[in-house]
This record gives sequence, C-alpha cells and structure tokens, in this order.
Amino acid sequence: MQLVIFGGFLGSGKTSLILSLAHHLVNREGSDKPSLVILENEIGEVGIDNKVLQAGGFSVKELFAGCICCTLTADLVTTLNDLHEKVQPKWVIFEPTGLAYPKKIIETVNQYGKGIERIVVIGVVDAERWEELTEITPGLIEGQVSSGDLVLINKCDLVEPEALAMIREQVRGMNPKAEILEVSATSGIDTRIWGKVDEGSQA
Amino acid sequence: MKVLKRKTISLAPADQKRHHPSAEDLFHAPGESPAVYSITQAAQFPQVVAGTLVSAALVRCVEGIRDWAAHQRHLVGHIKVFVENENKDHLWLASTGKRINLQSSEGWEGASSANYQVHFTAIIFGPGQSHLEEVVAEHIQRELIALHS
Ligand SMILES: Nc1nc2c(ncn2[C@@H]2O[C@H](COP(=O)(O)OP(=O)(O)OP(=O)(O)O)[C@@H](O)[C@H]2O)c(=O)[nH]1
Ligand SMILES: [Mg+2]
Repeated sequence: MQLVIFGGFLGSGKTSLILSLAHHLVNREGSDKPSLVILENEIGEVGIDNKVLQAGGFSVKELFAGCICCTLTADLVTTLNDLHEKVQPKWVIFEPTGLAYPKKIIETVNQYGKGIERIVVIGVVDAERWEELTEITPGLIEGQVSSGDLVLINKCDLVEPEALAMIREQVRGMNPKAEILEVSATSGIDTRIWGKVDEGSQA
Repeated sequence: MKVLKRKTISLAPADQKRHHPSAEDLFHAPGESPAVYSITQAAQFPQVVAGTLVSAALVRCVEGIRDWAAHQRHLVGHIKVFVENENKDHLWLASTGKRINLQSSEGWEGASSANYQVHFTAIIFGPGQSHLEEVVAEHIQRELIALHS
C-alpha cells in the first residue's frame, strides 16, 4: 500500500485536493480491484468530508479520535493493518484533522503500520489565511509545512502574485527540501502535479 | 423538524485517561482549543422547497455565524455544511471566515424536496462550548423555520 497523508490547517483545502487526487488515481488505475481507500479523521461528531468524498464516488472510512491533538494513533494503525490484511488497496489517502501534526502520524505509522511500502506527505497551505495563521498558530503551521515531501500552496486564486512570492519564501524557510507548488484546488489541478505523487509507485 | 443527533465532541476520549491539551500543545501559541458544534438534523417541510432556497437559507445561516464570530473577535476554524435530499442531490457549503463557498451536485439547482438532511459543523476558537451551541442552533432553526412558509 502507498499511503498519502495530507497535512494542513482547518479549511486549507485538504478535502478539495483529495477529491482531485482520488479522481486522478482512479482514472489512471482503471477499474480493477478497489485500489483506493480514503481515511478521514474529522473534528466534530458528524462527518462532513466523508459525505463529500462519498458523493464523489469514493470509498471512505471514518476514524474516530476523541482528542484533537493526540488524534488517532490506535485507530489509524488498526485500520491500516486491517486494510492491509483484507482489502490490500494500492492507495490509501489519509486526511487528519486540521490541528494535527503529520510528524506524529508518520512516526506512529512507521512504528506500527504493516504493509506500507511508501508514505508521501503533502503539506497544504491556505494562501488566503497565511498571514493570519502564521501569526496566531506559528508552531502548528510550521509543523504542517515542514513535514511535507511536497507542499501545495493552495487557494492561489485568492491572493496577489507578490503575496504568493512571500508565502513561497517563508514556506521554503520552513521546509528547505520539499518541492513547493502553487495550486488552486477549485480551479483544477494539473495532472502532472499528481504525477509527482504517483511517480515511484510504479517500481 | 426533528433533531436526529445532537452531539459535540469532547477533547478527551471518555474511556481513556483524560488528556487536557494546553493551548501550547495544540498551537505552540497563546490561545485555546476550539469550541465545536456538530449536528445532523432532518429538515422536513409541509411543502416541497427548492434546493436553491435551501442554499440561500444556509448561506444566510453561515453568514450569521461568521459575522457573529467576527464581531466577537473569535477565529473561525471552519464552518462546513453538507445537505442532501432523498434523491442524493446535495450541496456542500463552507467558510473559513471570509467568503462562503458553495458546491453542489448537478441535480441540486433544479431539485425540490420536502425532506432534507442537514449536516452542520462549526469549529470556532474563542467562545465557550455551550455559547457556540446556542448561537449555531439558533441560526439554523431560524433559517430552516423561515422556509416553512
Ligand atoms: N477559492 C478557493 N477556494 C478553495 C480552494 N481550495 C479549497 N477551497 C474552498 O475552501 C473551503 C475549505 O476546503 P476543504 O477542502 O474543505 O478544506 P479542508 O482542509 O479539508 O478543511 P478541514 O477538513 O475542515 O480541515 C471549501 O469551501 C473549498 O471549496 C482554492 O484553491 N480556491
Ligand atoms: Mg477536510
């Protein structure tokens, strides 16, 4: 299984981007066995994102975690191991809450997860709220950005090019290794971007 | 109108040793953990109501909550709504405190129904839990009741 984790603050566009990636993967894989499962961990008793994704025709499982900051651990590992034993999807996409630190998730999965060949972490930045959020909650934003193998600066349709350049520079400062791309989930994502998630999976 | 489920999350699992994450744990910055109100509600009307009217009512509802939060200087984490009729036509509405985004299934605009399921989550930093519940529930009730006439 290839695990793709989307980290990013509340409302940054994780679910919107997952919809796009899921379409890309399903189209590319064709209609053989169930090749994609999406795991959702939402804040709030009622899942909204899982309904949005199910309406898109995807297979979604909800993880229940009582504590926003500890999030999951046990439930995520159990679910991943269960998927590995029973379903063996090629792809698992995981959307943690907007308050989660992806680093903690990666550590847990590396330690206890079975059958995971590769983990790709995508950091999602809300360009519209960048200034506000880096002021209010700098540690969390930096944690979410710094863990990304790929950082997507989302909602770039809503900010001026100069602001975007400044965001890019600050993101670069938080994560010198990652590829950083500017996107707009609601205007459509170039399939070449999802190709980056895909590449390496064919080996 | 019948309330099916009215629950809010607690920050710690009931069956586990309680963990009270500090603002520092959550944010590494001053602040609080958010208040969360999350509800599924059946909206049943005596007559069919057009999807477009339901959209407009829910936009007003989210606007009201957003404006209240702004006025109180609370930070909106995310307000999100998913509504569907019995034919699975649906509307997804969300706001992070500025504009309100709507996306809907193809059939939504032209559809009418007397029965809707409304799923609503508001995550807001600042207010007390019960105060948020009161404010959000009041906005939802007001807008849905207005559709009865
Ligand atoms: N203008 C614009 N709006 C966007 C973009 N991406 C997402 N949105 C909107 O932003 C809102 C939040 O997007 P989501 O995909 O739900 O964000 P999320 O990160 O999954 O949110 P949580 O799961 O609550 O943390 C939705 O109303 C989207 O339609 C974008 O690129 N441009
Ligand atoms: Mg989401």
